[in-house]
Amino acid sequence: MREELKRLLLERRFDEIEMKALKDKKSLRGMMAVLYDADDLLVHRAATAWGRLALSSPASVRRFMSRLAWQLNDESGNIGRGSPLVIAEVARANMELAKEVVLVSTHFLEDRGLLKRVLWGIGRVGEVHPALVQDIIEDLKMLLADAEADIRGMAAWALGKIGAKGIESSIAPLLDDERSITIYENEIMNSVSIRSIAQKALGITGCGPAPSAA
Amino acid sequence: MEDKPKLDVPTPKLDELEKGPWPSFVTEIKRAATKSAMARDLVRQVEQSYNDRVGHWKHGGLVGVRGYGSGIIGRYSGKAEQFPEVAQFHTVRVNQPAGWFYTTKALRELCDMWDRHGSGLTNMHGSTGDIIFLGTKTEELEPFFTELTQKGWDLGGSGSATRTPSCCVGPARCEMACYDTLALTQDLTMEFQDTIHRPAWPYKFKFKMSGCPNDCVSGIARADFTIIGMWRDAIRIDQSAIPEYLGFEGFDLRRDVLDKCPTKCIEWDGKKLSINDKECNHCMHCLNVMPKALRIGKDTGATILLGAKAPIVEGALMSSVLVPFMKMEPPFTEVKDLVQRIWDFWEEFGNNRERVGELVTRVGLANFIEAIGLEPNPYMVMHPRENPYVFYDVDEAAE
Ligand code: SF4
Ligand code: SF4
Repeated sequence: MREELKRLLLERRFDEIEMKALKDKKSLRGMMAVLYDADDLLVHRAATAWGRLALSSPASVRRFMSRLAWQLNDESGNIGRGSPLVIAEVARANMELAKEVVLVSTHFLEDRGLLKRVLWGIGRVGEVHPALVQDIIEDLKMLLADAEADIRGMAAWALGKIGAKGIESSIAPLLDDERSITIYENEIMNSVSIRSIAQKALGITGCGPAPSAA
Repeated sequence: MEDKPKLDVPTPKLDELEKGPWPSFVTEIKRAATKSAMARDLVRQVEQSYNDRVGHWKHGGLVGVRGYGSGIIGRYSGKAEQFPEVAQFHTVRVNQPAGWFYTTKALRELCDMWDRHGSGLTNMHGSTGDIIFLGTKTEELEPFFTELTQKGWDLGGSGSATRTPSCCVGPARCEMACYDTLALTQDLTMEFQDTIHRPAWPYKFKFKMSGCPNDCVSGIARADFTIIGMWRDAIRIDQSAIPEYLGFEGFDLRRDVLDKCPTKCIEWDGKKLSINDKECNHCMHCLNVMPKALRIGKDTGATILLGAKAPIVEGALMSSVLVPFMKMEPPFTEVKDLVQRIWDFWEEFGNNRERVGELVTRVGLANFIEAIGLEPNPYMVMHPRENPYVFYDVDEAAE
């Protein structure tokens, strides 16, 4: 089951995944299992599929939300590394399903193993519900100075998505940052320079290279 | 007696735990501490905990290996500056061989790996049955996992996953075994591998396999799904072996066997032992006392019980009989189908962190067995003779 789902995800056959999930309960378990995969693209695609399911079949998604949130906690004995992505995609699609857990992952901004995905989730949710994430803008600004390129780049990307105001001075150093990071957008992994992310976040357009598909 | 290992740090509180006749975990940790810096800081931190009367472990973030969602439990020191070697002290669960049979070569291989990648301290075995490796750093997890799997071992389950199935030694060493517990454990472990390593359940799910009602793995009190060996024909009696028992000093057949039979279904007329098998409730007492004279029947299989949990804090539950008798032979299709039906129901209706036994209590046994497609049966009770459940359809009864 998991192997078949992986194939469908890699081929972006989301409609078939939705059909399967509605027909066979084991598909949803398989969709949970894919979230532990070592392939970042696959996990992101699975999150996209969960988001689509949240639209087409909210009842089947609802029960997984608290499970996903619990797995972020180290007390759970699990490694819910896919959770921030799924929670964000479900919240974007149907906030009613995720309202109790949507902010849970923001409590894990200190967990380095989760951080990149937590930031991605904040960006995705913040893009459509900016008011929800206003309280963590200051935390995100601090992360712009992080030593790890992935983290400072992703924090800048999230601030840009949220449309955060008053970030000019914190983000300025990144306008010279030539490092590139990979970000999942439009169902593919894109390699993007931190400089161009920073420019976008500041609303400067037309001066960075276009993101290239990785 | 072997000399106690001497450490260069004073540990007066822990030393108290080395006194007395029993082996001491403190002695073992100190022994490891003569070779391992992690074990040394562990001794120091635990001594500190006894002084401060508080545990010094804390949460510190998720850890694991790529591709898996369970098997590693993150642990961090709350006194990392004082005890830097245990700043990270993660636990790794490794799937044990069925029945815990090892060659000495395999044991050496495991211990050598753990000496290289962790503190060297092990717990053989945890209550779930896994090999527990105590104490390693985050950076060592992937290299350890790579080496482990290259040598043919794998991680066990943790958290809201199927936990590593475990069983008694079964037919490998025990004449009471009514089915091959080792074969079933191996089969379930391989079949349900994905659910062990990639948690998708509301909560934990434990399988335990015992070859007979002696239930040496205590599944009845601890596991969500327990498969206990059972026979449904007659206990085999070797009348010629009875005189030998009668000759044992201190043995009294009436006092030690007949009077202790809970259903008083076993008789001795001075020459012949007889059992009214219809009344036997398979308590195992007579078979345990006279194993040479009495043997399990020939028509063997297993009873399936559901729904135990043994939490530390509150709300312990014992299992209830779900299937009184099922043949238990490879490829074990019937039992695996039943597991899938139970999972379908629990996965859909179980609340987060609700064990399957709690769900059955919440929705009612009658609703549950109907949902998983089993016929009601008077054996599906905890105390058949005292507290029978009565199954009837309200409308039918009214008619
Ligand atoms: S449970 Fe029964 S078969 Fe298994 S080891 Fe114990 S006595 Fe033997
Ligand atoms: S197994 Fe128990 S119930 Fe059955 S005959 Fe022996 S003592 Fe009696």
